[in-house]
Amino acid sequence: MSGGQKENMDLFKQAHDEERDPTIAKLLVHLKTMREAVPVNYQLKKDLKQKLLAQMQQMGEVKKAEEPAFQNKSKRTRRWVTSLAILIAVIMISVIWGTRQGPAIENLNPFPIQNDIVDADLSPDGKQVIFLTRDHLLLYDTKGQKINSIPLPEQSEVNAVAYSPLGHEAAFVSQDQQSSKIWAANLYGGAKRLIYDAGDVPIQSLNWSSDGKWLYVQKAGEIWKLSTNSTQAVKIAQGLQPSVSPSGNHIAAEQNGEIILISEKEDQVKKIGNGEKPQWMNEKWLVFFDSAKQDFIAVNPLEESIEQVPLGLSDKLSLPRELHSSTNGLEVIVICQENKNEVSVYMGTSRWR
Amino acid sequence: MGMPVKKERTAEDPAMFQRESYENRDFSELYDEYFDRINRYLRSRVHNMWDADDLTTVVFMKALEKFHQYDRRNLFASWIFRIAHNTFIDYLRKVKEYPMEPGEWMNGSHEDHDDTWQPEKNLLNDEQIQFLHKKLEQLTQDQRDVLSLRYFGDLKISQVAEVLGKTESSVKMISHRGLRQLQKLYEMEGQG
Repeated sequence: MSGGQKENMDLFKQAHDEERDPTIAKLLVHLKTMREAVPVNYQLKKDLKQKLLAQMQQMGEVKKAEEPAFQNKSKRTRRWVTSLAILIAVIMISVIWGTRQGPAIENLNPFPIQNDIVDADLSPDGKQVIFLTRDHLLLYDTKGQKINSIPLPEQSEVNAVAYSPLGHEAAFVSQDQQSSKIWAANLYGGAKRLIYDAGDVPIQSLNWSSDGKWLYVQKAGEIWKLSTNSTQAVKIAQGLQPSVSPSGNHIAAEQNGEIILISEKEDQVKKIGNGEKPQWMNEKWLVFFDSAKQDFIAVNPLEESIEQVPLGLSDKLSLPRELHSSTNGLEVIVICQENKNEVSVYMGTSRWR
Repeated sequence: MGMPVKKERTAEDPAMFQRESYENRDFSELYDEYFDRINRYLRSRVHNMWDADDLTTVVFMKALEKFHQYDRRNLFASWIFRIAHNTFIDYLRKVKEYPMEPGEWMNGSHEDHDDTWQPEKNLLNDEQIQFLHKKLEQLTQDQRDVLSLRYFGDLKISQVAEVLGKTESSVKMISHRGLRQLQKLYEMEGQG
């Protein structure tokens, strides 16, 4: 052991003197638990990394960081460079393949969960899935490992769940004989807060704005947006199953069996085609269910001439009902209505032209 | 707790000493490792989580800007936490407030929470965290700095000393007294 390492080990031992004090051992365990209870903003982590990488490229920092590593010729760096080269190659192939093939949902596999599922949603980072059952919110990672279980109010029906954009909360609807309420549950602490009490008017669909400030909902036959941190509630239009685009500029909804695009700022409505349950995949692509074709259709609704691209899910799955994607649109879950009371969930990947 | 599982290197990990003699990772790798700790540290100290997230962004932007000044023979943890702590101090000066306002930590205002609906018993709830905050508020500023860096930033004594510009013995003393005081406060409330 070198002198430096020995010195470090001495410091390590000294630093842990207090941990060996039995009178405060419980307090230290408590502090550690408290530390782990502080949620990390993983969405910020992802977004900020992209920003920093862009800035590094501008500064030429990437090149600078690589040069000394090459001089050292460490195995770690060689592996990193090789991985990067492979990654770039995979991305290029994917881009070329995607450009040639158009939007598609692929690699679908059933999610291994036995409970009776009412609804489900994919986390914004695509790494977790929240399941709404009659009595619990169940949080799983995408490998099928259960992370948390949050009890729901007894003697209430529940009907919709939606991840918040930061991924630390999930909104859901509970309905009893007196009222229909929207709650937001902290997925890691379990605390729940009431967002909206609709009285005896049923709420049936939930969709967060990307800044997390609003929930777009279907209240009876109307589309409303509800503030998630105040009592403000704004009626948008007549319609069902609203979905707000990532920029917040457009709301897709169903109106009399047709998908419409509402521009809140410009006060415009554009008809897209026959269908239901619209869902934005990213700022460009919107997916909805065409009950006549029994398939999901992808469209770019902002183009003048709207081309409908069938995703072919009805060939792969029985009775697909809803599609939810991660923020980057690359991971998806498909909810299938196996029968009146049974829902199954499939995980997959998607690509967009 | 059901936090997303990611193994972080901590002060309790002796293997890290093998690696830290010379830091040869690039900024991107260091960012991946340290984001969680910096974000948690700032969220534990700042009035609300939105400000904490803004400060986290500021810390890493500053770090990238000054990364060429970072001496790779020194610990990155001390360097980045010094930036984080100084950013936090600047923030306090600007807003003229002190950290850890009880009830407005982590999840926004206390009024946002539904007190009528108790969470599952075995899960942590905001009440415990707010309780800890109230108790930390009763410590001295030095004690809060040391305990926050040590137990929320997960730094070693030597690293806390570097960040705060104090000697290790001084930090150990402050840490020891802070913990004792905190223990007493917990015992007084019957939660020790």
